[in-house]
Amino acid sequence: MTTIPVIACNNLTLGYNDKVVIDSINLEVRSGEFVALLGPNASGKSTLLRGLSGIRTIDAGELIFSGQESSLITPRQLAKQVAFLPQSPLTDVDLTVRELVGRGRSPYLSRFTVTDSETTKHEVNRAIKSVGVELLAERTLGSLSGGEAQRAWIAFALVKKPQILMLDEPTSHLDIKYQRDLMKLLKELCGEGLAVIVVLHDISLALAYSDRVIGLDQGKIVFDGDVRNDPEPSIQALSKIFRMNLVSLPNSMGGPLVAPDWNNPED
Amino acid sequence: MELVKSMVARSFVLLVLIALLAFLFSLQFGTSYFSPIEVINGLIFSDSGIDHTIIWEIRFPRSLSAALVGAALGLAGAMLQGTTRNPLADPAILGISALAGLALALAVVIFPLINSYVRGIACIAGGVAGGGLILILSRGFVSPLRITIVGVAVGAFASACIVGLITGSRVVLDLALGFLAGGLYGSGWEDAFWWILFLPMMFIGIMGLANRLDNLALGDEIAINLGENPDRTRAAAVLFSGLVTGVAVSISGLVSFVGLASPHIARSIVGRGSLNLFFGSILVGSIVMLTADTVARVVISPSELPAGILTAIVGAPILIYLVRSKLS
Repeated sequence: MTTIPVIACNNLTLGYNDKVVIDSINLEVRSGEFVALLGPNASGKSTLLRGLSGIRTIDAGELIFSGQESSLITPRQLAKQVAFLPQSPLTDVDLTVRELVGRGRSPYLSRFTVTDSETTKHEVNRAIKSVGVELLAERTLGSLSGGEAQRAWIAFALVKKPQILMLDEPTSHLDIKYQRDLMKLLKELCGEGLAVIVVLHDISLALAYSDRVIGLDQGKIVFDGDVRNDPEPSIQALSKIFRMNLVSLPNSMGGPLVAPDWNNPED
Repeated sequence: MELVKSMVARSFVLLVLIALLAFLFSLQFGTSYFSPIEVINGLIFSDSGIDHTIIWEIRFPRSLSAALVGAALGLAGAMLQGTTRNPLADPAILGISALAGLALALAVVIFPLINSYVRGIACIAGGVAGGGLILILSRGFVSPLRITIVGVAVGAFASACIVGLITGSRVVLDLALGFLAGGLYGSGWEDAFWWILFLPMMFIGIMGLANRLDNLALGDEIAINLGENPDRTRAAAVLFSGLVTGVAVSISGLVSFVGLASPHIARSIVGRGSLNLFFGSILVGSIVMLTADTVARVVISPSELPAGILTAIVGAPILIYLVRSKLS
């Protein structure tokens, strides 16, 4: 493939108070790719995602969005290209789903916009429909279940028509059905050309839906590979990363079910 | 959706009508009473003699000043509550009023002969500096608890300095009581004049900040991902609140609770969103201040109470109610 990556970084370094959390990472993600970011707690997954999305400023290295160096892009322009959702977006926001999704159009609107234009209304409807929350559109965010609120926030992220969507542990508060529904939705969005980078804890879920797994350990990428045809190398790598023996069971659909071997911890 | 919009529009029409009514009453009542017809005659015809003098030279500018104080405090309160995500924030509690007052007291003690415009500017500078100081001391307004504690501490310190300055220099003692209690005694055209500055400032501040503050309410990370700069927006909102607080303090001294209560009342009338809330708080603040000032002039007529005493008497129960409803 010769397409320009929607996001690329060279020697990306991030840290807190002199402590290096992300250590000289190189990465390229292209349009339509579904990337799962895996690693133990404190391996730097969330920090990496925040660095890549421009939520926090990078300490060193280069960050390039669709061929453009990040320092040359205005915050509002970057906001149009990149969508990011934290692990638990607020749910006590006093807005209806439609109003929330409308807020997501902010990067396109003048500061002095008071009423919604036809374009805004159209895009809001489209985003609401794309995640299947039409029936919840007039409900307030606080009245929704965890899974419904998650969908509303994804509509919020999609309404700005980003090229890349980054989610930090989006499945952590969802039951297994919502987890599957969310992953299917993300997969569909990738089919439409969106690049998705998602931090996950569930290895089976990552292998079942993503195209590519990146294993992070102590701020460095220790595995980065395509998992669609042969997930075995990624499982081996993740065993090392998590310092646990992982066993995989074949599954009729998607990737294998991966579970830790409780009896044989490596350490 | 359309229904909600028309309800909001109706609420605003209602608020404007109440504000106009409060304004009319404030022109009617006082040591002497005027009927609405007499008020209009007094405003329009300069040959209506003593009525014209009382209504045009005394009551009208004083009512304009009262409305301005209420509008400024209401707006500052709404903006501070939105910025700090703290329902108990207001320019008095965060110490910004006291710092504006301290700047005024310093100016008057050092240069006793300065005119009211220079005093106003000193006060505005004090308000902006006060906002800046609390911003710096609370490290950027991120933790609501820290801001409140810093604000209370700074406010107590500034108030002590004001009292110290006043008792130390006998020059301003007669002005001091009215200033500390807060009120509009003696407000005239030189105070009403500040509307010329406040009106354009208010529109620029509200239009520039309402959307940004709404985005900040979704959380800092989400706001950054919408292209916002949360720290800068918070700083702008706090400094702007300091500025309008300075205008209010220069006119009325330390009026408490209007900044605190007006946004809560406005929120229950005009509903969600910073834009509605800001304009609603301006109207509610004006209504509260006009009413307080009118009542203050009438209750012990021909003498008068400082309006700030009335706002405190009405405001204190509201504060207690708020705290209790938050707890339960």
